[in-house]
Amino acid sequence: MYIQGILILCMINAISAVGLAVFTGFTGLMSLGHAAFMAVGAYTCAIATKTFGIPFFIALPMAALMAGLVSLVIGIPTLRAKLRSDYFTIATLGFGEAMRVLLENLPITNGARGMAGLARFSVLPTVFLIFVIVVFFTKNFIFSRYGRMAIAIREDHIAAEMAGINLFQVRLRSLFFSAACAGIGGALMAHHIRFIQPNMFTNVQSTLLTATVVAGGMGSITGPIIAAFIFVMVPEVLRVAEMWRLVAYGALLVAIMVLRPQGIMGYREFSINGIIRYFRNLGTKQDKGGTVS
Amino acid sequence: MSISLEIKNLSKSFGGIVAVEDLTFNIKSGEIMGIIGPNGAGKTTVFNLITGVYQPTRGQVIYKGQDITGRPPDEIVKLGIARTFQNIRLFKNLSALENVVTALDLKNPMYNLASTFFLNWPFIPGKVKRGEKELRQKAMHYLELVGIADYAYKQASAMPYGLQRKLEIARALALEPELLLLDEPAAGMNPEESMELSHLIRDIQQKLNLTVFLIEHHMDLVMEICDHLYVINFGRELAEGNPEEIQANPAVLKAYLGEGRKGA
Repeated sequence: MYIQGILILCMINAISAVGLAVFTGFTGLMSLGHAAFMAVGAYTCAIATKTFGIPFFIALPMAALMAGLVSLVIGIPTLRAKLRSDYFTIATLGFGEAMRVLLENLPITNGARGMAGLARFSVLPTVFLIFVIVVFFTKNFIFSRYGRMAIAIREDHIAAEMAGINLFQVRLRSLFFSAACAGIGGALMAHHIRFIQPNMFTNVQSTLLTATVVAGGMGSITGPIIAAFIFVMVPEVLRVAEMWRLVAYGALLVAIMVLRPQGIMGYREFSINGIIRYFRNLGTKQDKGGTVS
Repeated sequence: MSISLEIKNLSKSFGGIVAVEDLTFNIKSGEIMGIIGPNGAGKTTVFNLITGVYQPTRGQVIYKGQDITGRPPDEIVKLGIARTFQNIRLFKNLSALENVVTALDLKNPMYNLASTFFLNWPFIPGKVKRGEKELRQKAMHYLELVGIADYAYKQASAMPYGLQRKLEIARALALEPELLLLDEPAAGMNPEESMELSHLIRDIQQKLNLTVFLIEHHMDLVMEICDHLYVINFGRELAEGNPEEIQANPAVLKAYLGEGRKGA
């Protein structure tokens, strides 16, 4: 039961991280407000199932859609103004806080007291199935011409624009996708912990998500998934170290960034072929030349 | 010959500094036009004004009879104007082939967003996989056209400098333009390489029926391939004419060589 709980948490975090990877890793914009989209997803799903009695498998896509729509509220003004990376990050930071305050004051969300007694829908098979579906969609999105446009923007936005790519449209599309993923993550979280409250979705949660993507490797899907699993599992494994575990956790993050600034996977993807090639090339020392897609 | 691009009284100032002032010239379709001038004369600014990177302070840019002044770059590209950059701007972490494929997407959308999500299953051939394969073949054709097909799977930033310039040209061609703007295509090349490049530009221009507008400092290349030249200095028009006329123009010689040398 304990192991199951951890696995569920790993996959929930991986779902949100994969979504954010599409935005931060492939479009090149940092967000520090993605917990807000998790919150929107969590509350949408919780209200739909608990207050209105809508079945979970309908409420879940609703949560994704709602998070996506909310992302347009912050995305349209900031991305249309072509805010540079750091300015955009600050805007998302403010947005995240605003969303939390909003949730604390709306009557339908039951304010700061939160919503308790949610049904346990996020069981292991369900979460696993949704995890697979999200990864499948993400992979399809990234390894397509739509993903290519996003990557082009990350690589050189002026050249991308001169290749006929509409920066606003492509960035907004990836933001929508990442917010929808975060919404699904939040919804699953709500029905796993079975209690939600606005202060579960603070900037700390947003920062952790972004850290997961950066540590996993900007420009990789498998990297952030691996990082999400590590970041959930390590504090659990370190429970024996008691008060030192969070210090060790921080140290791990620092170590990853110092030893592998490009992240665990860098621009590459984890694959069986990749491992075989890696060991084959160990002897010959030749340039692997593997890049995205 | 019809007119491809018309520049009318184009001006651009940044704060109090005038980069380009009152330029007026035409580019006929099917010709190779060159713009030359000393460093800092405003040549690249002209390119940026045409392609929508900058908004002009005054004046008009008219392409095939249509006013495109101040339109965003991605719209201008769609109308058929592609360019390369003075300081190479490739998608560095992607392979040469992927650089070209990215550009091909514009005029060759092989599938839509819904099929991206739902019709791309592992091991099952479908619309998306077929489309991608076709684009890769097409991209290979452009790499062959500029003679760098051997580097198709090499990471762009790992390619030799001169070939990166050619890759930029290949990427611009993949946008299927009618008007191609080349910003110092021979920068950093030795005379031999720049001669080879001038043949390449001529070849491509004839094969693809392009109009070419280029900035260049290698005078041998400019005089060799340009049908028409426009000379600017300190952002203002200095002279216009065919290469022979420009070479004999005293104002141009003065701008390039300085006045004191004239009698020497």
